[in-house]
Amino acid sequence: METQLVVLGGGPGGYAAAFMAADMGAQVTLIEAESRLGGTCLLKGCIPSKALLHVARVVAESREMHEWGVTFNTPTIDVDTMRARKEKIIQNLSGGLKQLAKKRKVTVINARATFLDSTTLRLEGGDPSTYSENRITFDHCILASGSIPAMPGAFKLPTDRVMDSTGALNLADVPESLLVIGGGYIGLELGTVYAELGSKVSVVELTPTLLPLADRDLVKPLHDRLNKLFAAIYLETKVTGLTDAGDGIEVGFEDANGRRSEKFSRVLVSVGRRPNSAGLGLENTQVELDDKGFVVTDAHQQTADPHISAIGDVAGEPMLAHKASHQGKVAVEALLGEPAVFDPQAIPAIVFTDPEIAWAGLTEEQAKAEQIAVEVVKYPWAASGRAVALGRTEGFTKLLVDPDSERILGVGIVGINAGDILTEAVVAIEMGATARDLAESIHPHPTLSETLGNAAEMFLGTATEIYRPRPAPKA
Amino acid sequence: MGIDFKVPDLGENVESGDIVNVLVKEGDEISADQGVMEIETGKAVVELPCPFPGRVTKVHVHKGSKVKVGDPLITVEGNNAAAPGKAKSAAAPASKPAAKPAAEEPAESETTAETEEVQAPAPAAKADAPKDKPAPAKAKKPAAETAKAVPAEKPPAGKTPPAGPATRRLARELGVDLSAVTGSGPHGRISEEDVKAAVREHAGTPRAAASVPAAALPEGTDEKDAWGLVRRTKMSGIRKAIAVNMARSSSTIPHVTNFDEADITELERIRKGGMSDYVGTEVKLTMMAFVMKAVAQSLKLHPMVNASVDMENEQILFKQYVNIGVAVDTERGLVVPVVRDVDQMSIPRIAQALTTVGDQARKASFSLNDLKGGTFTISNLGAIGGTYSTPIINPPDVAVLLLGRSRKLPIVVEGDKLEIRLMMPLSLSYDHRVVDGGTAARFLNEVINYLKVPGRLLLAS
Repeated sequence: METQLVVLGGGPGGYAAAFMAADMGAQVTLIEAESRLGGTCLLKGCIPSKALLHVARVVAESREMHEWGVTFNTPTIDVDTMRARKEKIIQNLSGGLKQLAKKRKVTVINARATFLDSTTLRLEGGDPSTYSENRITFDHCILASGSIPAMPGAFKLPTDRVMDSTGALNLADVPESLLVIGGGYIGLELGTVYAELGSKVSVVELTPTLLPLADRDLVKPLHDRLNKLFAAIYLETKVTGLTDAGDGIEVGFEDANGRRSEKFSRVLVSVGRRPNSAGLGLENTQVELDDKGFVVTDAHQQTADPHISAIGDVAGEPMLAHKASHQGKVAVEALLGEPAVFDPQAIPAIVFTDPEIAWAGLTEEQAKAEQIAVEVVKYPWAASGRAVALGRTEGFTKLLVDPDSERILGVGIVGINAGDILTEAVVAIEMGATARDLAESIHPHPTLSETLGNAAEMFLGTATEIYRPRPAPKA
Repeated sequence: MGIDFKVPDLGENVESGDIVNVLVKEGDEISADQGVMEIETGKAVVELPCPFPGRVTKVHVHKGSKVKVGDPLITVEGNNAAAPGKAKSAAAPASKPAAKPAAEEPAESETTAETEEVQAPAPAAKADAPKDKPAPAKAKKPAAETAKAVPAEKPPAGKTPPAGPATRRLARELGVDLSAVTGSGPHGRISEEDVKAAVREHAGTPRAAASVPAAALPEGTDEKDAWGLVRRTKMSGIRKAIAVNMARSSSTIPHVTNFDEADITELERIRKGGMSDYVGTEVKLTMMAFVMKAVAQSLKLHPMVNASVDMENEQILFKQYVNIGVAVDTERGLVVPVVRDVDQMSIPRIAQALTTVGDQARKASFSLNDLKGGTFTISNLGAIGGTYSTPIINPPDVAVLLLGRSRKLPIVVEGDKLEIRLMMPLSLSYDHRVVDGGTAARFLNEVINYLKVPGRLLLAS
């Protein structure tokens, strides 16, 4: 078989690239090892986790309605119905992708593919009716093979009581107790789901903090709330080993106070993800990997092999679906000679916990590490009428502003729906907007997004709902 | 004890300058890298940023002062920075601590941060530059053969030119370095209009600006010389080969160029008439095919032009084959693939061969062998433009023929009548060591005659 462009991987990076290339007139073959399109994001990541987090949120809110004088009964949970509903969402969206591929005349092959050389892939497994020969040659390949959950050997036990994120999303049951190993966003999101469904959830994290990549102050309100929701949060604690105790998993811990052990019905290992670059035959091409296994690319997503571009998780951090699809489009446009490069000023990141944490552009930690002078302003949501109305005033909106140019360099938000109001920050940073640009764009009232404009006003010295005496004008 | 801020190395053999403006006065508090002087060096007026923060206790110069590199400009009484500052002035200036916060660059440098770092007059800034950049990005640099841009040298947040994604894309399209564009918006925000204006400004006239998009620069590293931004790029292999060959040819072969023109009115008529016979085939009956045939026939009649020189052995090699190199203008540079045994080929076959070698040259899918073994070269510059030129011989050839752009001219024909004839300008350069003027002229006459009376050409084998 022969094709102009092969896209290897049907996730949000791969299908975005394949569809765009087809729209621009290329002959495209999309190869996916799974039987359905959608990749980690749709099949075992963003979408199913958000479906379950929606459930968790409704459970939490109905419980909190008590404060308003509305009392609901304790919910009864039918895991089978919930799982089926989640599965239906995936089926619906994946089916949609299949239709879109068909309409665009993108050939979809369901097979495992390995590189024989820089322009040939060997196909095997999957659904052999989707390919007529077990080899396909191409002019160019966009590698979008994604990433897989990291599972350290010591945690690998032959029991489904020890799960990775994929296992946790399968929602086999609501275990009596669950230990989440790793305080990153995946562990906290899934921990939230299980906790709201009724599990006693504990989190163990090796470092001194949850969500090590986010600014400390953003994490605090979440940490405070999780302290109530979770049975325990163990920081600076090492998991020394897992043992299958038949009716549960015996977990050994070690912290400053010594060693101890505890039994959990299930364990979720969420200690990160690693690029899916092994076993693809990349050694038969000129593609180069860095020491973490990420494929090295230039700003056009071109690898060291002139026939191969790489995008998404396999091409480096951050491993986020929206980064992957953006890179997919850059790669296609660059191939077609358009002046596209991957040069974002801000890649938004959102942790979909309750409250949510969202940030874009420069973080305070990063500014400190790179010695970039910034002025930081924080607008507390306690001053936001909408947040008060919602009874969720623990959040705040933070701007990192260049003191000279007054440009917005970074934004961090914690609070419910923080992710939904982050978008404005991304546009502001990309456009090189100044604090005044934000302050003087009229924000709709009463919304949580107002807090972005309010924070900018604070930077300029006066904000309606905050009394802060103006500092004496600088000489 | 204060620190003296002295006239830094201004680069490019500039040793002195005139102070045109003093931006601070005694008693002023200044921050690190605040501009304190404007100095005119004969090449430009530049603002000198003082790397030391603190209070200005003494201004040693005034407007109009002539200063040399090393002369003290101001004395700064450092508050917190006194200690490191002192170490700085005592030791080499490059020992400025890495602790310099990137954002302390003067506000003016916002839009030019990237180039500032390269040309910043204070040597200290130069030494600091790499530290301002995220180290891991380096590792992302792919193998050298990927000649495309690399994300490695990303300026730190806030130091990128303030321009939105659409503007940045336009800048890439027009080959404009945004760090060299002054934005017209608040705080130097760059609009699409600013990018276009930068193109016009660079191009001089608005008319030339139109050609700027095509003139996007190849990848390389930007630097500043005394007159502005320049980009340093690596010579491609092809360019190196051209450079070496052309220089050797030009310096070892005594070139003489004859100019003449051929009346191709009749030929053009025949060519156009014949074209329809080949519609839908791969044969494109170009003028070049006819010229090649005419040249091949003429070379057989004038062997001295189809030879090469062996100076070492003081011999001349007469080639008993006629292989014509065709200069093809490709994206990577001039390539001269060779069409073999042209004298034995029919014109349609030559036309076909031309299409093949042209495509191969442009796609770079030729082998080294395809470029060797030529006995004569034809360059069709007229396809692009121009009438006469002085082409350089492609050794081991002893002659090269350049075709100019054919155009209709009033020509005096038999009976002193004026007629409009289609004339093709011809420039023949030849190696005067072996080809005498007369030989060259007779050869060129032969070619001209073949072209003028194409019947002869068609009768040729």
